[in-house]
Amino acid sequence: MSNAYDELREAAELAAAPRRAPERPLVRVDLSTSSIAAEADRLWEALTPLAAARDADLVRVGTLGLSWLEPVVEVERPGSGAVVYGPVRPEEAAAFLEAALGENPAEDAAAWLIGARLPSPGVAPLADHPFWAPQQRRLMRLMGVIDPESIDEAIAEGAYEALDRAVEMEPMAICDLVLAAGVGGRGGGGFPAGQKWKFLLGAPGPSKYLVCNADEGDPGAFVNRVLMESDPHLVIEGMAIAGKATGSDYGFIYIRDEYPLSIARMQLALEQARERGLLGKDIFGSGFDFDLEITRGAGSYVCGEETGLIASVEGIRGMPKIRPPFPAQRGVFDQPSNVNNTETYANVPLIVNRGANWYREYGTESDPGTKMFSISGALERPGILEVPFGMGMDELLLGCGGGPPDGYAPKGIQPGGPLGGLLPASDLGLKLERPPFTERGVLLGSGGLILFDERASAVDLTKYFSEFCEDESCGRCTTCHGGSQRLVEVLERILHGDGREEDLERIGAIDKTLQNANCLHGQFTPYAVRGLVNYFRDELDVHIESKRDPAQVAPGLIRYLVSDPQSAALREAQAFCPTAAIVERPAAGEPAEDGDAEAAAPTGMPDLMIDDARCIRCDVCRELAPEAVRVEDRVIELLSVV
Amino acid sequence: MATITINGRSIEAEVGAPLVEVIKNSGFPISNLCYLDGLPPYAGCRTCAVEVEGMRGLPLSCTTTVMDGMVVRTDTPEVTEMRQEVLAVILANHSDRCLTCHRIEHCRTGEICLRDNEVTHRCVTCSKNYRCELQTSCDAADVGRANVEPYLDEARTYYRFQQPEPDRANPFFEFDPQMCIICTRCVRACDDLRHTTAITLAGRGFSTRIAFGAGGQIDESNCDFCGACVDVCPTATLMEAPNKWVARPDKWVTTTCTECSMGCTIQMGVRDGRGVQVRPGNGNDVSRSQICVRGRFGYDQTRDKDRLRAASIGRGEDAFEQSGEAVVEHAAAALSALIDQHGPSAVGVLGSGQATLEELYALRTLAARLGVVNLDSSLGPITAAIGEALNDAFGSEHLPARLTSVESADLIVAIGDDISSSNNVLGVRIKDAVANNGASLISISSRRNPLAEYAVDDAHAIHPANGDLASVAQALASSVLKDLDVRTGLTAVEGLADMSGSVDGIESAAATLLRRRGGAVAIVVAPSRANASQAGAQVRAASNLAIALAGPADAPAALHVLPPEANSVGLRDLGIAPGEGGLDIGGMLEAARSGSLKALLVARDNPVLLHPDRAATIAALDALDCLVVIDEVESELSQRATHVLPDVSAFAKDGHITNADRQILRLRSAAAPQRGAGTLISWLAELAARLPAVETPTITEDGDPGEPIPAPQQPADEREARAALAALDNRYEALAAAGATQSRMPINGAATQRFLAVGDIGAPGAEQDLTLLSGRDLYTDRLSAARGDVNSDLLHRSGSVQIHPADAAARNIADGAKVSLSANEAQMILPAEITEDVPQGAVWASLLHDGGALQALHRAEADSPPTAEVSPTPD
Repeated sequence: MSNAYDELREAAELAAAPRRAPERPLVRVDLSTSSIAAEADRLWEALTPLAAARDADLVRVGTLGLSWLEPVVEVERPGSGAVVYGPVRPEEAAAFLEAALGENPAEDAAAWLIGARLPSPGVAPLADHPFWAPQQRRLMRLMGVIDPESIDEAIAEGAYEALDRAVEMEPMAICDLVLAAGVGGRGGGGFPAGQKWKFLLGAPGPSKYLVCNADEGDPGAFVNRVLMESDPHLVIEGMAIAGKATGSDYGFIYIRDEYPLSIARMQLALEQARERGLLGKDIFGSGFDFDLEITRGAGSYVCGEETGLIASVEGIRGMPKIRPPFPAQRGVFDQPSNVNNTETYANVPLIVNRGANWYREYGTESDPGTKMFSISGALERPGILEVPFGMGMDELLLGCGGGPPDGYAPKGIQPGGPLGGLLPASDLGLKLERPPFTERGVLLGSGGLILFDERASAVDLTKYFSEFCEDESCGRCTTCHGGSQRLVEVLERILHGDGREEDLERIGAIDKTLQNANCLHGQFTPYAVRGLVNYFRDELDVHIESKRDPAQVAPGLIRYLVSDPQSAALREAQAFCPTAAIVERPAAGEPAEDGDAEAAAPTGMPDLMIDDARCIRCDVCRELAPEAVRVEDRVIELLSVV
Repeated sequence: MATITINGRSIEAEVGAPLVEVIKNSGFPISNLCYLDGLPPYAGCRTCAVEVEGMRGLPLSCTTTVMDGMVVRTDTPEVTEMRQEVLAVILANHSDRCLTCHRIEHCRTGEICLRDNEVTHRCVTCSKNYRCELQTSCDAADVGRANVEPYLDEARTYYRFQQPEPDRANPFFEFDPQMCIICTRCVRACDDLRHTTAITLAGRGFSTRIAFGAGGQIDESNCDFCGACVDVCPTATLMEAPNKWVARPDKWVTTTCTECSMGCTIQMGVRDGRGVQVRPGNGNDVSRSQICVRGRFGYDQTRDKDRLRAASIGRGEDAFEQSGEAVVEHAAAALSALIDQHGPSAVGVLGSGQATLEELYALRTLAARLGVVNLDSSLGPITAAIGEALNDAFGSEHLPARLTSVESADLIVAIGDDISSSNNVLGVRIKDAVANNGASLISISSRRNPLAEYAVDDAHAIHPANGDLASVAQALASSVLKDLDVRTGLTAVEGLADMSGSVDGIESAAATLLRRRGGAVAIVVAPSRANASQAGAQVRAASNLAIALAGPADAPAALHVLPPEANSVGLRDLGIAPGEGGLDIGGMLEAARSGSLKALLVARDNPVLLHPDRAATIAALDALDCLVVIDEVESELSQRATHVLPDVSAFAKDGHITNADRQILRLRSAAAPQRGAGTLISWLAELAARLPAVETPTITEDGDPGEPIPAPQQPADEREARAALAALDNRYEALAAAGATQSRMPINGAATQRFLAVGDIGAPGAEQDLTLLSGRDLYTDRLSAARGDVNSDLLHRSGSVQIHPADAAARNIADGAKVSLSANEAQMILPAEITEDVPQGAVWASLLHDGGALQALHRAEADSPPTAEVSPTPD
């Protein structure tokens, strides 16, 4: 430990003492993007005067990962542990604080109670919660605990200790250590980070650049966001160590613009780190210079591809480049560069502090260590958590996540974003590491896992993901932007009831054409449709051959019918129907066409019906009047006509 | 060198060369819809896939480089199938019905389609039919004939969506996005070949599209209509608008553009004897694949119907058409009578930088036969001032500098009103140097122009408000000379006034000069074409800069002078200048007004358009007893002529010009001459035949004693002119072959290299007056301007006077309002364009606007640009 670091830590511990060992009650409010979406900012406003009145300190923290319970509040009281509550609505703030700071919070605040993060009498530990139990929180150790906008708290908890070690190490030794730990690219590639760093270390040139890929574009993936919002210094420290290891003195953190809070917190963290001399010239007096800047993305998915990201950092149109040259040869501004995912960098300080063997305690041979996963979709408990590699996917999604709500059966999993493909529910037992996923023709990806249940249509999902890929194609390769268009067209046609026998062959041909694309975006675009063909073949065949959609979402295969023509709710829904398809039945006395009008009560109002020619199957009427509208396979109607 | 095998044939190729170029150049058909020779691969179209032994899959030949022993196949079933699949993907977004039809070869435009395709969706009705690369690729891949039309029965994307409207808002290009296959060749041509960056790839996924500027119409972007994008477009997306439907040339003729002194090689596509298309040609090693809007579209702006089509006698209203022979006869008689009565000194002859060397030679010979020493051209004072300055500085005006060295220079100083307008292609080469070579550019110009964007920074783009570019250059030279290292080895510095502090705001530019002068230096100067005194001063200052930066020995090779007209250099070389005791143009016009000059023979020149003080010029012309005009178009000049002889256009001529680079370039007759016209050289020969020879003088070339060129005994005919020219040709060739030592020698040997004083510009006029800056704009067509055509600038970009916002505000002038410019007792009314491109304290207007109306405000003898009173008109 250098003197510089010791002094820094001492000062930080002093400054952070009121938070680390509070003498007054401490109310931690989760202020991350997902909780703010649940009005945590309003809750914060409501709590501010209340906490002051009760001599309690209000602290902003990152997220614990309990997204379905946002806004989450933790109350730590001297001598009686820390208890996590949620969801706490802004309007309940006074009642909640009364109960949580009262004599018997376990009973009074039971409505909000989740568990005790630090042992508290009469409260079940959070560690027993099914969401929490299997987690190994290494990266997430401080998330939801420290104030992400306070560098003192981070340093007091050990941030930048690893950097202090690393600046005294040989670059090659750091690379070797990271390689020995076996940390792979967390963006989904899994390429050993240590190896990648060695490429850059070996590259010539006075200037080399590091790039942090925080352009997390996959729907359902929010690992990087949580990292940056809850513990930004972990990422900065990781990049600084990588700078030392690769001989690079400058880095770019590329954050998508849809993450304004991440950008703000990272920016603040950078400024704080610079103030303390943790970035800039001569860090810890070792002669090592390193600095970072934030580059904001502009909402393009392919900028998550490393060469596309490099182009975007350079300020030109974010299109993946032609390889070779590889980034380690010619990257940002034509200088040798290294691109890693945010989570990859975040792992580095842990490895430097605790060593490769500690790191490999968890995980598998192919993927050592732990991984943050963001789980969402048809789940009781969506959220973000960190588990060892190799854990069963069922344990994660059904155990931690609680499986689909309302008793529906899981139908499939969509791992790794739109390019990741689809898996059937029978594959829930797969171990969470790359090889079994690759074997099944899908990608584990960057940590987003979406579960869907029997209500979802695999064909419709595939169309959605293919459309996403088409929309986000950069426009370079005709095979990619044109091929994905063709794919979407075929899928749309199937969903409109015009599926043909030769469509499978056609999809295969498009798949083959798409392989002739420059970057992985084009090459992985057909993964979703492959999943459909391989694992949901029956459903696809039903669409094509029987023109039926069991999930009842394909617009061309279903029709909306009125089951209660006198429903008041339906009458209200009339105003919301975008195509004015809910119309009054022309004249009384005519025989009811669908034979469902018998149940109608004579209210004096004319009967309502849905004009099928106008209906666009937007489902608004069924949402507003679930009792009065039902959906049926169109094919039945067609058959009945025959 | 490597030996590779393509389809079983052994081919020699450079190691590392792009495979696709080797395949193409070896004559194998290969579809490459996005590749541009010489630029890095884009790899977007994916159709150039080939099979290479030992490589996985089907690599693209554009991203694959040649390695020794490679075995390549372009025709395996896998390759063909992949190409067909990819083309099918492209075709789904293209109106493709003809491309996949086996009947395309039999169809004619008017026929009813048997497949019932819409007329606008057919290849046979597409303007690019038979010239389309997509068509060729589909043909080669047998997409139609092999009946492999993939996605058969699919509702094609192209037909499912409303296609965007084509952009036909400008006179030059048509942009029809529905034909686009997003190969981005145009984007890369605009970026990498032109550095204009007017075109971008916008949107992504399905909505990826090509956009000009911010996505609006082309003429709203910074496009300068050079047409590099049109040249590379594989489909009908970007097309030349003029002659779009007839541009299927019978033949291509390589000739030389005469729009400026660059002399870019062009190819003219000719159909039925009419030029229908102009594209860049191979020849000029400076212009290479680039030309500008004037070179590409100027040919079409003056049609045969606008040209002089008959000889005539008599002035203005009294003119009547006569056969050429009769007019020559009449003119010769009139000239003879005047010479008999008043002697040859009562006759003047004007040549032009727009004429060929042969024509100028014939003209000079004719003048010599008549004993006429009053020989000059309208821009003669300017070219003379340039020549004088160079002679003063280097002892010769035959500088060895090659313009090809500009693009490899490390330090460039560009001096001129607006080089990217007057000599557009050289502007591209300057940008090349900056963009590709990291050169530092200092741009000294009257107004901000596209080169300013490429200057080191805004402090290196200098626009002096008084228009005194020479003083800026001289001040920079002075600043450099303060450095002792520079002075070492230089002579004649002491007596020179130190002007380093005389101009503000050049410190950082001076620092850049000192820092970077070690590398290759290029000083490019396009002297003023409005004011001879300024032109001379600019060249003197530029010479000083060249000597200070490149050193005495290398200075002549670092100084590039761009004279005003295509053949201005040839004009000087051939000695079209006042002879012993002869009058220059100013003197001739003066003498005409006073009555001592009775006759003027004007060959392709136009003093009304090009000489300052328009009113006096017109008065002089009207006072002449005999004015013989041999010109291409009817103009204010020809209306005042007593005898008019129609000349053919430059595209219907054979001959040579000498460009700014001192290269002798060939003009070939491409288009048929307009009916009724003869060539200038034949008119001169016929005149000579009918005029008595006064004496047989000995003509020497630019003061070079010895080797007199004997005047032909017979009337100067084309054959003899050509023979004489061959001698001249050899002289240039010898000059070039010897590394231009002929011009360098006096510099290394004698002390003729010296610094020249540059006079300070005169004090401005009344304080509220603005300096009137003017020059050649990019868009105005010279011939149309001479004709007085209101559409001489088809884009109407230069028909206004540019004024700084502050000046406009002080005068209460609104954008677009009519303003009056008065100077030198003349007035002109123009709409105002408020822009920060002009410096505060100055206004800018095009010299050629409204048939040279601005010349009325200029004075030939002035030392500086005029100052004008600028005021709003009372509506």
